[in-house]
Amino acid sequence: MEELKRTKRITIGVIAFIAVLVIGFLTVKKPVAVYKLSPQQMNDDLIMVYQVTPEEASEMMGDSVKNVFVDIRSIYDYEKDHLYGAVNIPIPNLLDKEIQEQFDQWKKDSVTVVLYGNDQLQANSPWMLMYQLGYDNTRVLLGGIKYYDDFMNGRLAENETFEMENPAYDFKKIIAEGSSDNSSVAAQAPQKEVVVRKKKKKAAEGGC
Amino acid sequence: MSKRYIFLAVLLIGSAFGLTQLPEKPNKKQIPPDELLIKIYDQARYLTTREIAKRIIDRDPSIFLVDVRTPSEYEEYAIPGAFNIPLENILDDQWRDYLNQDGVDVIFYSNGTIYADQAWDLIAQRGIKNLYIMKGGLNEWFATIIKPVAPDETAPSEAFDQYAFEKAASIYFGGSSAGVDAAAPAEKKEVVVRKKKKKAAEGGC
Repeated sequence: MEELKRTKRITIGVIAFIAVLVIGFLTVKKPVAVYKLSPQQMNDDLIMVYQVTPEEASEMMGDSVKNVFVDIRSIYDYEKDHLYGAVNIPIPNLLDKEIQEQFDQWKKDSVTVVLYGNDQLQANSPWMLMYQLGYDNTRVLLGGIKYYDDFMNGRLAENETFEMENPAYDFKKIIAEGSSDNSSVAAQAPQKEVVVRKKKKKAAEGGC
Repeated sequence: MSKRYIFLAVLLIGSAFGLTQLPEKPNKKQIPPDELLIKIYDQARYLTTREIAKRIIDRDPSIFLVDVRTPSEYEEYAIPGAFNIPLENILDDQWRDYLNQDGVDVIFYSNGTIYADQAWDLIAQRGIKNLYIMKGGLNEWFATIIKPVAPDETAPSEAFDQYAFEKAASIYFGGSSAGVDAAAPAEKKEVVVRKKKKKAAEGGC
């Protein structure tokens, strides 16, 4: 009798334990999206060609099967003015389930997805995110919609460019002129010295 | 029976000692994409050139300017006090603690804003809070601080106040605009980067 009671108790215990495990596994939160590239791989890929110039964009516009333009601005901005045939996916919605399925579909059909905002900067971070999620068919429109509109309508200022990283001034020369005017200025940027303190090692950290 | 207990105790102590010998795991956590998306949508990461100029002039000790351009560009001109970490090396382990400082705002800049934004994006994935970008980059810096343009006569008075500040800042940073000879030399600044204290026991599964 005594023996039987004990076996029963053990059985109940084991069943309860397994039930806890199963519930635990079932309720694990599924991540919304997973990075396919590490930050290092992403950084290495930044030197590759991922941009679309306005000229290229106007050519791609003709082939709507192989190319799709995605407006990452708000619905309001999209309604006001958007590129011909563009789809509106505001930045906060980029990771929605349906949107990801759409991106998966585009990738499967090897459609080139061009993200654009008001300028290149607005589309830059969203592009990096989507690229890092493994959608390597995404590109960025250089200059954004404003530059594109001006480009198509011939309203560009004389030396307007979509290359944001080109220096617009001769930095060194301007500073040299400035310092010759003001006799005592030390205009050269001083090198900043940074002292990193070594961290004391704690006895036991991490490890699985 | 007591022999068995002793054996178990020794086994436990032995394995505990084994745990202490594990190599230290670097803190390489990454925030999930949905959290990064929220950060991307937040425009507060952009600081204007005027805000930054003001903080440099005020000798605010809580800013750390990072120039993500190439070393040769950095040699030609850099904002006083800026530290050079080229974009391609930004993820190197040696810079990890420079970019993660308690209470210090790390501000990235480049010629435009794109490279700085890319650097921000890569570093923000570590879940670090106070990371910023200088909006407009050095081009905007020169257009507003070094070579400010006088507002129209019909402009509101705020524009003139702003211009007065820009003119003064221009002298401070070595631009020539106002032609006044009093100028504060940019000083060499020493910064002590404190390593972030690690919580007692982090990591582990």
